Amino acid sequence: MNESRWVGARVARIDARDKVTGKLKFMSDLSFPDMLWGAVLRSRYPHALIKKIDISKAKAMDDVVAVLTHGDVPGLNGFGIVIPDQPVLCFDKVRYMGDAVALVAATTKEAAHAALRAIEVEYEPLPVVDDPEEAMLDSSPKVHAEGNIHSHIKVERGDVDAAFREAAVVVENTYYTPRQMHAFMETESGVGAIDADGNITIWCGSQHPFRDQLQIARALGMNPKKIQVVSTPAGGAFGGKDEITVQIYLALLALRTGRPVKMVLSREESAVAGMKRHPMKIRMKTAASADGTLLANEVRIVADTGAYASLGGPVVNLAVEHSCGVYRLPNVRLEGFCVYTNNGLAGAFRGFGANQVIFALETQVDMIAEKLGMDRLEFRRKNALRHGDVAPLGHTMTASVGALATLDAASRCDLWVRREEFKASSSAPYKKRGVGLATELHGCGLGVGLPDYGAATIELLPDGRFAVGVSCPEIGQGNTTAFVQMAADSLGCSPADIVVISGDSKRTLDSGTSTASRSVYTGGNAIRSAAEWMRKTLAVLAADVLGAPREEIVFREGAVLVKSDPAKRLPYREIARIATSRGETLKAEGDFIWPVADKGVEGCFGLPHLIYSYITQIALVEVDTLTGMTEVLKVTSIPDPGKAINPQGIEGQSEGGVVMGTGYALTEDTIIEKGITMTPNFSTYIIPTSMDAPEIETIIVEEEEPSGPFGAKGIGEAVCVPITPAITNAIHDATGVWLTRIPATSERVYMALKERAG
Amino acid sequence: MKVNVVLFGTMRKYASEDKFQMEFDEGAKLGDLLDRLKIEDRIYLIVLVNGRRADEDTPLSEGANVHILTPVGGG
Repeated sequence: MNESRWVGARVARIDARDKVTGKLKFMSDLSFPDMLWGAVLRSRYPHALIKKIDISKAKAMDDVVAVLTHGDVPGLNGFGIVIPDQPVLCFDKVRYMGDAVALVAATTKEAAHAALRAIEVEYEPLPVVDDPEEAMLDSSPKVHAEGNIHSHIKVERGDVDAAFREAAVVVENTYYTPRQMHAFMETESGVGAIDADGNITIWCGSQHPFRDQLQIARALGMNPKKIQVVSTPAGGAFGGKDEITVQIYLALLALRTGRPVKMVLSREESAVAGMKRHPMKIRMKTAASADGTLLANEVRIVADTGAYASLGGPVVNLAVEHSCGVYRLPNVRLEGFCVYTNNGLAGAFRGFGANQVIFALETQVDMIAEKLGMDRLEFRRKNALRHGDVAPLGHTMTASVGALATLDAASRCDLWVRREEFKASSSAPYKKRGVGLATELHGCGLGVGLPDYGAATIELLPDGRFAVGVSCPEIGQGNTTAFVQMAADSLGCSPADIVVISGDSKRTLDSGTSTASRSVYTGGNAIRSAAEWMRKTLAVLAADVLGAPREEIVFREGAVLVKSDPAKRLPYREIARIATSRGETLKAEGDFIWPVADKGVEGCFGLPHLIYSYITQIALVEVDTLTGMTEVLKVTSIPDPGKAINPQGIEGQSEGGVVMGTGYALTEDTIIEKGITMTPNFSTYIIPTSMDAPEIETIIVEEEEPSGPFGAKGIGEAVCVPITPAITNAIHDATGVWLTRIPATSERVYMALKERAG
Repeated sequence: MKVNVVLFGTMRKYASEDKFQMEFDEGAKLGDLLDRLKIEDRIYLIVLVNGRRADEDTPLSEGANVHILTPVGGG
């Protein structure tokens, strides 16, 4: 069964109607009888010892049902995906302004917040650690007793020093990237409830319900089987809901009060307490020969992970992996440090370490091409990895490689072909136009050393439709629609005959995370595996009823047919009726484990990847030389997602990614001074609106991946990555100014222009 | 019966090799395997038996592939 009627079609998103009409209830919309409101007391200091916590006044208040502190955490008082270094409720010290010190449940939201104000905490402030480089010094105050360097990795291949000696061009720069906020529309929110048997249910938008279940169980000291986590739908996540947010607080309050408890973080609380993209300082030295062959890359990355580890270590690992981009680089010396500070919290964010290093690398590449007088695109083509090449980390590129294909498509696209024409028509004499491009590869899945798996279920419902269960949550990326299309083609029916169950630890099998550009690939492969079993089950029943041999059975148009006599058919609803009458449930399970690269990198779990998505993006900008303000006018985005299961979905990802990467390039930065967040709301943290979105053309290049479902890979992250250096390279093309620090705010561009003018 | 065991990440500390075989009597369950490896902290633990999440009561079978890891993530 390999017919593709629905795969590749522009099927409307299955959740579109309910979302645009407001019918769909997100977790922050849920309400239950007798429900309480929960609230969190956050730290008053970015770094301080806790001397005393007095909750007596809060507990005595009317309408307050429970006040909890660290002594009320029955299990491990810590959480964290890799190491549980973040206290559920702080007991001895606080390490950032978002640290939780106490929880309150009250009959109204107002009463809960009044109770927070009545809790008295005595602190002894400590020196604030706010510079990652200084934090690495032995003399620095310690955020954690074990030291401020959370992780350090180093990868070396070839003879880097010899390559630099022999090179015709060597470019060396230091790059600085900002602390981007996920800015999801729905802040961290949810409801926790407990039933008469002590089973807890948590409704909370997140990215891996089964891992949440284990983290909650660990903190509660409870059997995970007694905890159900429902993660779909999430009102946006982008990595910011990969780690635990409010799930454990909800569970603790529900357990203590015996009543449903709801919690919705305000935007300010989310901005202070929530996850961010790691700010990085990147020293990069890159060499090329006179004929434009890249020879070597030396990279040193220092990443500010804030107060706790979360996924900081893996983020830095991926930054190291992606720091050589799509290029053949035989000589590399790559090093990354993940460092604790009191600057908020950093962790997973769409791109996962690639955004920072690709900004640096793609700027370096443009600089080298300019020094050599080579065409920027041709320089990239010359050095791009091909299928069968040995990659900079030493593994062989045996999966589909779309680097050249996206660059070739770029060379033919209207924006590139007519770039001089576009540049010549600026709207005022003092406004300069430029065109920039950038490219990258992006690892899909978790990589070597981290088993990446997924499972799916398919059940024939009594009405003849199929229920398809995949736990990877729908976080807005559209994976459930892709699951419908792949299931419809795998079962020979229409998308209307598929019902998806998503993101529920009780109703689905564990399919892993909705992260790492992995859910369509993993879920799709697991669905295909389950569909194979379902077809076998259907064939047994249908062959018996139709009096035909099983090998004659085919699946088409919502029915089982006899190949040699298609008039003999049994619609799925009839099969469902027969099964129901026999008291049978027709259910199948499927699973899938990712293939991995032929070589790992010692001591670096997750490195390298085997399967990558590819993308080239081109931007046309107009820079106001009087103010430094940059406007992105037009973008062409050329992703290679493997087979595009839903081209409309890919376009949606591409457009959203371009806008997110534009914000990262031009305006977005969570400014933290001495541990205090100075940009806690959208009045000061500036994200692009629809008015700022450029005209975006998406050209999909399909380099199909043989191991992928129908040839698909993943594309959720890559779409927001090269657009950032494409914009800053376009600013250079327009003005001659190189930017090594983003965001390229008006002030920053203006000062650079002024400096260049002398 | 023999089962194939693979330890990932921090779970590697429970054996001298990452990949090895273990032998059990018929009727053995996953809990017996975890006992023999002396893995005591089992709350924050993922075990796959033949690609599916499994718990201590999951029966082992001849040639079963057992993957043991703590939950992880990535981008």
